[in-house]
Amino acid sequence: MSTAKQPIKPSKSGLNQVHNWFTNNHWEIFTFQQECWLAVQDCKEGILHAPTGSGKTFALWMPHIIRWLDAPKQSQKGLQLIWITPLRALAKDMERQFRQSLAAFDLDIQVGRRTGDVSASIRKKQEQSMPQVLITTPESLHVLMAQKNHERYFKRLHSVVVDEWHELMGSKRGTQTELFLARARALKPEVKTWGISATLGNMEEASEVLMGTEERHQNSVTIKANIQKNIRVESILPKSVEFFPWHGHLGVHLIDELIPILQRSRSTLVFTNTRGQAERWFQELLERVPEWAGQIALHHGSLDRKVRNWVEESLHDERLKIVVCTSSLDLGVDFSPVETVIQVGSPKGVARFIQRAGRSGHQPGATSTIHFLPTHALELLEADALREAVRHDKVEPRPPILSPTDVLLQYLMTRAVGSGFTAEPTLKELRSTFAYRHLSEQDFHQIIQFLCTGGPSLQAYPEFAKLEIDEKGRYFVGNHTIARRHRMNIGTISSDANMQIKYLSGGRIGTIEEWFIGQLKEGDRFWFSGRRLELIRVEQMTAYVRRASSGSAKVPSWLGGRMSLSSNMSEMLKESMLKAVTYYDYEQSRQSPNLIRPEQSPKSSVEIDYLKPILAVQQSWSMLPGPNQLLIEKSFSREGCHLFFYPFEGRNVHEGLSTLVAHRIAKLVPITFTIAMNDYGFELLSDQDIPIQQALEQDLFSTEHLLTDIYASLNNSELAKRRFREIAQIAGLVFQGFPGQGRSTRHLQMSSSLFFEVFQSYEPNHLLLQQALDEVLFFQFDEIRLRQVLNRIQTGDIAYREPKRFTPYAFPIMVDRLREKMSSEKLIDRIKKMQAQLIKHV
Amino acid sequence: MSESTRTSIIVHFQGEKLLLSADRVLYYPAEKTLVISDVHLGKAGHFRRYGIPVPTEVNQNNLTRLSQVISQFNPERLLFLGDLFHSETNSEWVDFQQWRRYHATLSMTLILGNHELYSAQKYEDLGLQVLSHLDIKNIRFLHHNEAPITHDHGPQSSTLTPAYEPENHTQQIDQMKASPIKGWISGHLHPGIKIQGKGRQRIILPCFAHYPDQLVLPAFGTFTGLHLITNKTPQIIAIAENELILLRQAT
Repeated sequence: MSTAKQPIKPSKSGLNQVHNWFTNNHWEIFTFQQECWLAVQDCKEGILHAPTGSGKTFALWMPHIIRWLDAPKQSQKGLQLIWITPLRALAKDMERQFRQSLAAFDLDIQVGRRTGDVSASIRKKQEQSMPQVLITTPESLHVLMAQKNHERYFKRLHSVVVDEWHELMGSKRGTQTELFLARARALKPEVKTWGISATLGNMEEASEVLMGTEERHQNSVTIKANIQKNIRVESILPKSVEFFPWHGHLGVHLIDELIPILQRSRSTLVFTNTRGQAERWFQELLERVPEWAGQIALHHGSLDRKVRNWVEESLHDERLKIVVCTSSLDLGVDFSPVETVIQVGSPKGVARFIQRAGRSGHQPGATSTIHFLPTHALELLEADALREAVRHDKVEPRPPILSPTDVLLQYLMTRAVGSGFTAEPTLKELRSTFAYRHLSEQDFHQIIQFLCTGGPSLQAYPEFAKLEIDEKGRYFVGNHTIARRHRMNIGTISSDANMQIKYLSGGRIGTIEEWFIGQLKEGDRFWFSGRRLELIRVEQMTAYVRRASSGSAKVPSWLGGRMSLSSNMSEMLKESMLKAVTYYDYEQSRQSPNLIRPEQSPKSSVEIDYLKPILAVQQSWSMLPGPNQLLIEKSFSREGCHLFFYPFEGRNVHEGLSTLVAHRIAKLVPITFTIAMNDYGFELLSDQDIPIQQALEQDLFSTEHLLTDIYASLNNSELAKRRFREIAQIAGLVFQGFPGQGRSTRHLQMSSSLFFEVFQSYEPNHLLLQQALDEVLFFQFDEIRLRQVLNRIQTGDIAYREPKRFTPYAFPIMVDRLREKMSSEKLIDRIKKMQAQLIKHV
Repeated sequence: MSESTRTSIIVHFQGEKLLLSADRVLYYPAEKTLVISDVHLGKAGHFRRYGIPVPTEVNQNNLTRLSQVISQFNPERLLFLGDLFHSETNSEWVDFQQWRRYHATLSMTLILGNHELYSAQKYEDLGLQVLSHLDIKNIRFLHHNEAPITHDHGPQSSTLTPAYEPENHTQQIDQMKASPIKGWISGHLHPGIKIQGKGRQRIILPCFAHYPDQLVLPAFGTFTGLHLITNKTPQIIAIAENELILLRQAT
């Protein structure tokens, strides 16, 4: 790309010049790119459906170059193009690309970046004179809308491009994007919207959500990049399955098998699922192959921006051999492809897996190979499932979030803090989004009233003053502290307080969740950013550290690493499981000639073949459930009675199903459970014998009274309370304090769980409680899905076993420490029992 | 320990009989004094002033419970161990004023806590006697004794939780030299204890923390959090709804 800087004679039309530029650089112009250029020229809007690394950026960037080349200079003032990206890390690369091509055409167009990590002075400058192109995130746009007179920025806006729309849709940041688009369109109806999205299971819907209204959607275009990518999935296997642990999530036992692959490859990305896992792998690789120092780097979302930028640039310039990363490198502009991609542990979704695979072998038509490194034995099946999913292009849909109250509360405050708003036009604007299309007048007014009075009744709470209304019917925020607090709070859609990590000498290293630092004492050591650090002291949300030379150190674990398998993945996994069982049965039957065996050998794969010894253990200690069979196992340990169920429906469904099952058993006897689950099954653990036989006789899996039971189990579980954490944060109930400000804000800090309890006792119909329940019903207790699963269990048969030991299926669930609670015992009885146990031990 | 649950419990502290109640109060029968700590009145109102909606019932509930314990113990004196008020004056102070008038004949003493922002006069106007601490026999009642004498602290809790920084305690030290104070009764911490059981069960409860020379009271206010104390505390009296449970240090 170094030749891109030659200036081009301005005599021809913009389109011709761009064509020439491509030809001079020996770049091919893809059909979809040309289609986009023409569509934008035609004043169309729509969605471009193209994978990362396909040249999607140029498809929607070049038309603006063309436009500027063709248009007279004076029409080029003011903010014209807003480019929304989900990740701050991407913004910088975008900025560089844009500037390079602008320089090549000798265009005097400013490109600016406005994200959370851009300094206040630069932002101030932008506010005085906006660049023509602004690269930004949904949150930053909301911060912008929280300014008075923000309308002036959008006077000359031509287009908004939403990059990586598949990543934003289905999240509350997607809703924020929708709200911004509605605002921009209301201020300037001619504004065109373009979305760029990788393949989704619901492409049509993705376009509809982006366009907001039915009418806009009908008039929009969809352009598809026909780039065929071949993906090969290869598993990394140990010499023998005996070396395979039955549980775990790190996978470092396979390091010796991984090293040769890394050695052979010029550049490799090692994708891990959590930041803690990435730290661990980085450290292990360096310890094993010390000469890689300097050629191996770490990249995850908690590292300081400077560190991440350096890694990205070095990767771009091919100065790094290995980068261990998390989803922080999932998305991304077209930085040069790497030779090899490794996936450690389950990627949880087909789309993500395909995207990661696509990081290697960028040439069209080339085959991308992705190596799958399973972290425990059963996870091997996922390699088989993934391969099938890729082959059949089973990319999952992302359902958009409908009408979230917390985001709306936040947005209305944003508008009020900004220029203020009036009810009528705002409701109209809101209804032009997909999310709030069906927002009723009544609900809208209830939400405004909530902001004005704080409570359920028309009469205001004493001293509550958030939203006020003036004589012209304009809602505004009069209190400056509230306004300031709101601006600070926008965009923190993560519920844990983060702490800065700094060297004593002053250098910033990154951020880490407060609770991890809270566990450490001064002088304790921990791994971060690939370095062994010693905690010196903690001061006002900053942890001061210094390098530690030796000694053992903890690896931080970040919360939030527990994703569920997508429904597509769990379906594929179930099939792979059945395939493995069928194949196993067939192999067994071949060894005993008396049994009738099928004519044809059933399908197998390397992974399935490899798993045979483990399936054999499962078979001999318990059983291998076949199709339409639900296996239930009961075992005892010092901890009490363990009951395992294996529906293979994915973590989310198991969350709902396990709570329901626990609730139904708890109706029979007073009992307390702790519940654990993974993507394969779930466990109910109790200190007393669980009457499962009795429960089964009384139709444990019946679909009768399902809704009543769902609501009842919801009230008894902590699922809603957990959902409430994020909601309380977005709606502005929980406040983390201003940076560098200690004591005075502490009077305003209260945990979301205390809010939850207070609302439950005094305002059970509270808007935000209602939302928490709705979200649980949507995500964990999807009634239709649950009903299907229960029906399937009821029509199939139930196999019940009491194995003497924990089986290979049970093990990975049993070791999980993160547990749900469900109890039908009186608190005092539970404590008495615990005490009795305590005394027995002493 | 079969008789370990009841609504109140008598402990012997520095030769005095004290009654701990599941209502989160301490009653000192010999002095007819009811001791209450960390009510945090006005907290809900403080939150509301900053645009965080908290129901008014929170404050009302605290006052109602105060009235209940008064009628239950019928004390001659009510002693608040600090943090009676959470913050600046707001409408919930008016509620308190009314409540105070209702109990006009009862003597009430407030030991200033770190949340009491105003000068003593402001609280005296509400009909409270204001002190920095109160000594009865060889027991000192105060808001927070930041340097408990003979027992082990939790794992470096003071270094990582700057919320409990020492206040002005030079005066206290001076007086300590003067009088033979042997026991300290305080609040401030909002002590809570985590109980673990078989089947990976966990419960967190508010509690009284009882050391040989110190007694820490639970927070009376409901809209308050808990600070987990170490289970090395010699004796912990946990509050489970309306019953008390005695937990001894495992030896």
